[in-house]
Amino acid sequence: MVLSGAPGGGEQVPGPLIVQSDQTLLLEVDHVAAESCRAAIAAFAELERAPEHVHTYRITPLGLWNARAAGLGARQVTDALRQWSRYPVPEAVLVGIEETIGRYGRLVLETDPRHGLVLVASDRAVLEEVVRAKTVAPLIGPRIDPDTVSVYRAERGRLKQALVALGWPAEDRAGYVDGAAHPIALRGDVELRPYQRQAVTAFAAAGNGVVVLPCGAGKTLVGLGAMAEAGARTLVLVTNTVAARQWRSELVARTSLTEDEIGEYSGETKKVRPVTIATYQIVTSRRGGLYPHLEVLSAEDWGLVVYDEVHLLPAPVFRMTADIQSRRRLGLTATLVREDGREGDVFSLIGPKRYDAPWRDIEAQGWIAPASCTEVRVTLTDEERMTYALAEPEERYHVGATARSKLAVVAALCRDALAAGEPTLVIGQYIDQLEDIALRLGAPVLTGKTPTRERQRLYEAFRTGELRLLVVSKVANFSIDLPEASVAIQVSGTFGSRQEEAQRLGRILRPKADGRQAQFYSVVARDTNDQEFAQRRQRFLAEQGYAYRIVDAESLLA
Amino acid sequence: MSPTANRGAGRAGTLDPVTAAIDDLDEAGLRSLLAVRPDLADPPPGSRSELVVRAASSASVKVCIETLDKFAIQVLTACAVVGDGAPADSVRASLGVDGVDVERALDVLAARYLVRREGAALRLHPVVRSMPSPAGLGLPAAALLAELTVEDLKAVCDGLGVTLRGGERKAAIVELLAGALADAERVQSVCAKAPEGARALAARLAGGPPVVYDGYGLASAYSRYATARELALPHVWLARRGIVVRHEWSGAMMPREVALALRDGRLFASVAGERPVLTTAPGDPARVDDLAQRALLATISAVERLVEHLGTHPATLLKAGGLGVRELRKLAAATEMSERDATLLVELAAAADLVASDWSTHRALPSASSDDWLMADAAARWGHLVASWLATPTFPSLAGIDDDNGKPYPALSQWAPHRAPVRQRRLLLERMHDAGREVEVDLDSLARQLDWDAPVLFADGPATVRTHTAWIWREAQMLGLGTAGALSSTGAALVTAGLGAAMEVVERSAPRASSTFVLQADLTAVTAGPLEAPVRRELDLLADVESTGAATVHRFSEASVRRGFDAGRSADDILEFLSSHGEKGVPQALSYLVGDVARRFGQLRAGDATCYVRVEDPATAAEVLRAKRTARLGLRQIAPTVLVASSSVAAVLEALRAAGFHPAHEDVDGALVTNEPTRHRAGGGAPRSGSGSGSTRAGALGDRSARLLRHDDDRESQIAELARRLASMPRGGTSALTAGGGTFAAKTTNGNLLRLLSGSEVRTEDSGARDLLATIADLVGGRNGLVRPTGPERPRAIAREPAEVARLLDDACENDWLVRLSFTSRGTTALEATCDVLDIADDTAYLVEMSTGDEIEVPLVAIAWSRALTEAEEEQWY
Repeated sequence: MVLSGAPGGGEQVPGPLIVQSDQTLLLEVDHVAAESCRAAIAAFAELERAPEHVHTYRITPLGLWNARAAGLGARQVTDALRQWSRYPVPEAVLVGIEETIGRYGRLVLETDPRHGLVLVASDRAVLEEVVRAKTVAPLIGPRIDPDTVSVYRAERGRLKQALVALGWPAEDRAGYVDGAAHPIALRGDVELRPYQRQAVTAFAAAGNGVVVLPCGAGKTLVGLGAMAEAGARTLVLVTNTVAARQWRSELVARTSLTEDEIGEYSGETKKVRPVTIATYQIVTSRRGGLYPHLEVLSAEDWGLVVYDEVHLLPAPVFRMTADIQSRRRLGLTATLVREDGREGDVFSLIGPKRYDAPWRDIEAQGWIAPASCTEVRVTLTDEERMTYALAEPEERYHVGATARSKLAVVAALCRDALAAGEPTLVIGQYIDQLEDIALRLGAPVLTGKTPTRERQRLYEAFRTGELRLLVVSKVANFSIDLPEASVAIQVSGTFGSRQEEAQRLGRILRPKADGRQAQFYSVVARDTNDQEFAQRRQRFLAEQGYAYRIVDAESLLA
Repeated sequence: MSPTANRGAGRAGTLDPVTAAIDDLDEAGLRSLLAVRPDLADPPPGSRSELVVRAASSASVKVCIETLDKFAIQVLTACAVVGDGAPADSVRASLGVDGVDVERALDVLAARYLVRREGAALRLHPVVRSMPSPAGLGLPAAALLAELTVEDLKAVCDGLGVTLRGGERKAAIVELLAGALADAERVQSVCAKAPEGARALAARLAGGPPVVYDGYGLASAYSRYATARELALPHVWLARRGIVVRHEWSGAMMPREVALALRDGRLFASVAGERPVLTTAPGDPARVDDLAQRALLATISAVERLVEHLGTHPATLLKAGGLGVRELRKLAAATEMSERDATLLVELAAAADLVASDWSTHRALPSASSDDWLMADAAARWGHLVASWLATPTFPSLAGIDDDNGKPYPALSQWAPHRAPVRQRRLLLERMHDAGREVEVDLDSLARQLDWDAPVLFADGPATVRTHTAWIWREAQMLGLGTAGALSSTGAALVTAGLGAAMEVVERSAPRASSTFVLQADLTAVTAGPLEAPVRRELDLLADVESTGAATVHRFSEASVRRGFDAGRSADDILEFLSSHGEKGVPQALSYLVGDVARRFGQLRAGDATCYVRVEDPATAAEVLRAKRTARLGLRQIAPTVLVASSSVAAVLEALRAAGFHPAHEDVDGALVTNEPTRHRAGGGAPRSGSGSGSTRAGALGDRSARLLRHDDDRESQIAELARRLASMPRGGTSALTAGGGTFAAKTTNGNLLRLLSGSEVRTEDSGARDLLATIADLVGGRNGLVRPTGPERPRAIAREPAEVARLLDDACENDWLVRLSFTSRGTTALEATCDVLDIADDTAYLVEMSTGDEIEVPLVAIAWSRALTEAEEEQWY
């Protein structure tokens, strides 16, 4: 046993789980029963941290409602805790779980043949409470009977949002419109991995929800699988044009769809086809207070909407999503962590989490490359330290993050990587810094200013191995498939953004042909706020079980 | 005759038979007495007579009665009712029960020497004999009636229908009436005929207490002048018939005989012959042990949190002492407990002397002894809490309960000690133990049984038997002595084998505190179960608690590690601690964190200093530091040429000067602060001008410029006024003005006036003119507005030789003295003037004539004489 402190008696083998009164669950990973326990609690608790010995899960209302939506009852949840817990489970936690789960489903959204969309309560007091809430009142119509109130069809999403905020999430049984049918099939040679298959099945059964898979684990394929299940006109929302092109080529390569059936709706071309891929940027572009493109796309009879990188979903898209609650919706993401804290909106508008697999598990199964993360600490020269010290507070991060002392380290890392034949990406936040590096290393630089055609050319050259080193800005954070990249060197990041760090690591997690390890380096200026922000960024990955090794630049350069 | 009998006979006249019997006890008798009345042996009496006196005291009898069960008390009460010397049969009769039980109870009472059998008669302990209102009964009728006057008695006879022959004495009437009232049938029939209110009152008084306090109407209750309304009052109605008798003027008491008659001759409505049995259900000892164990651990850790929290966030006491609702609420929130639990735990912690009121700061703080408690292991902590709880002479659960005014009793308010709770707790635990661990005891039935077993003891306190029972059981549950209607094995061990044995049970079952934790790369430390106190303390210092419960999660951060450095740990200390207690080693990220903080800790240092001393070179600094006279200044060298001192600047300057250095005083900008000797002036005022310290000078100048401005404004009118006054003066007055130098004509034309008068040597006898002169001097000085310098001592002598004059003027120029000189202007007129010397060059003096402000050039040869003005003279010009 790893953790000391045997409970009284001590005859039976103590369980691997400790239930804390603050609703966190501590799971001892080296315990023999850890895996079975993880499987049991993952259904209702969110993995919060997964460092090397003890993983922390948290029981949250959203997590419990997710579980309830997936058919789990309070009894099963509390039983699981009792079964695996080493110590007696605090009474307050059990009571809290029962209460929270009990709140889900007292209100149900249904389609009534006579009155259309209605909110039905199995608990009249709850209905009385919510109809009086300021946030709910404008979304509902007249009362039909004591337990039923009609709901404006267009307000279905907003009502669900408001009810989650009130703590009385409604179960949405109003069903979906099928949308215009459009058969889509996966090609015969495409085989979904087991977890991808599970994800597709879980989603198809529910009709809405979010699938959480690590970068490189093949989320796109889950999307394709879902489209094939739906067999309807599909709108795919992606982060940028390059990602849109990649989706397009994936669709062409792996499904029965032809080029003509796929439309791209972006800043460059605006074609609406049975399967349309639109960027977040275009749907959120505004003219005269209106979202013209959003309206065009909303008017279509979609049977399925796929949200790529759902954690980046901008607010206007939430609004649109609220309007299309009768369509099937699939969210894809590597992390449900939103820097803006709108996880509740994802839950109520896109749907509950339907599938989740820990990164390390998938890595263990060989579907993503094993990775080692290294933080290289660069000691600034006295001159740089003085510059940093004298910089305006708002400039400080820039000054620290772009310190020239980093260049030598980056160069050394690149030299080693290239000598070993590793395709290498240098990723950074500041264009001037990236250009400096590119110049010094004689490598092409790819930023937001680079035309799409040029970007595609560079990506292609990188994929084929013609290009071994590429310097990229944050445009490459998302949805760029660069399967061969095995070394990523991060020279600067977006302050403390945890999901960015995860995305960047994701760039190199595609399994390598020879199964070699991916290397992720984060070059950080010591004793500046660059170091602080780096630590904050690393938290997510540390929690996912990626332990950063710290290396001094001096030892690296020596 | 035996000596004992002798002694007994000798005391027979002074001692009552029961006390005398105690006095006569032999060793075996004493032993059995002390066994049933242990309070007599504690503390051991110093002599036999002390024992007798103690045994006769009402305090000891009260303690003894607390140990009696309900039936024994009823029997004792019956004894008191039938009176000293009455036969035992009368006791049985008054109780209306069979003999066996009564006999057994009488034996119990006799063993305690509360009663003594003398043949068939029962002799009573004096305290029992004088038991007030036994069984809720009043005094016997004869005693009550004796308080009335004959007239009053006659009225009662009238009301009761007792006929008098006339001429009876009072005693006879009393006897007659008492006889009538002893007739139960008569009393019952009177009461049956009573009006509704009176009948109800009689019924109430019969049940006891027997007194009604209602002065209204009683004064005239027996009077023939009583009004109909008064006569209709229930108590008056009853009083007229002897059912109640006026007693102590303000009240009326029902005679004992009457009450007994109304109770159908029975002393008690129900005789508690049968001991109530406990209601039980099958129990589950394993579950009880499990729950009790959790409660025990939870309480220990809750008290720990409480003490720790109060250590860092002391709670403010109410004005009258104790913790109010608001502080308790805060405390409960901070320690994650319900308010009710927190309140009780504060009381338990106070009983265990872990928390106390600090009256100097008026706050609740952990006591000094809490440190030892915090460091002890679980069993020792628990043992201390339980021992304190058993012994505390207070009702811990009383805190937070509303008092008669609807305000909750504050916690920690040191209620007056009470003997009952200590004995109540023991008795309750014993009864629970008697019930056995295999059953679940119904708490209400337990309360009923306790009420029978020790009714006096359990009613003694601020609440009812039931409430006292509930309180004690809740406290026992919190301490893990039992739960769910049964004692835990710990509780059972406490009852049967004592605290030590119970602590052993706890020690065996409590999770062993570990001394290790798991360190992880995300900078957390996870401890399952409790951590040994010293380790926990160190970890608390180095990391922040993130999550508590069965396990504890700590998180390290720069700030938390720095706290360790602040507390004097070095990086090696910290890493050594982490690696010796971290089960899986120290993750690299954590050792880097410690290293980082160590590297940066102390890069900047701050300290206390009152002033600094800058020196030109390190050698001087060393000299200053070594000088004897600077030793008291607390000088420290913080850089080669910088010293700091803990003394004030003034003290440092003085000491340095005394040590032979020449320090300069500099201000925040490094500028010199000049410091000139103070010049004192009469009239209490400061010098009107001068160069004092920077700020006073500025102030004085501001003052002065204000004055000048005012003068400027007023000047015209003042001059006009002056002119007017001068014009109106008689000529003779003006002619009295004579010039000291004799060189100026007393010209009176207004145009020349100022100039003329400015010659200082003007004398006048006329006070009005003197004032005028002063005003003029003021005006003139004001116009010049020069700052007056000081300097080396000025010469007194008058210079007449050109060389002397030149030297004097030179010095005057140098030192800014004003001079008085006489010179020939343009070769014709000899003039005398006060001047400021601007320069001396080419044998010419360049002067400013003070009276006019004109610049003049005077050849040195033209100067007849010259002298420097005295300071006093100069004063007038400024």
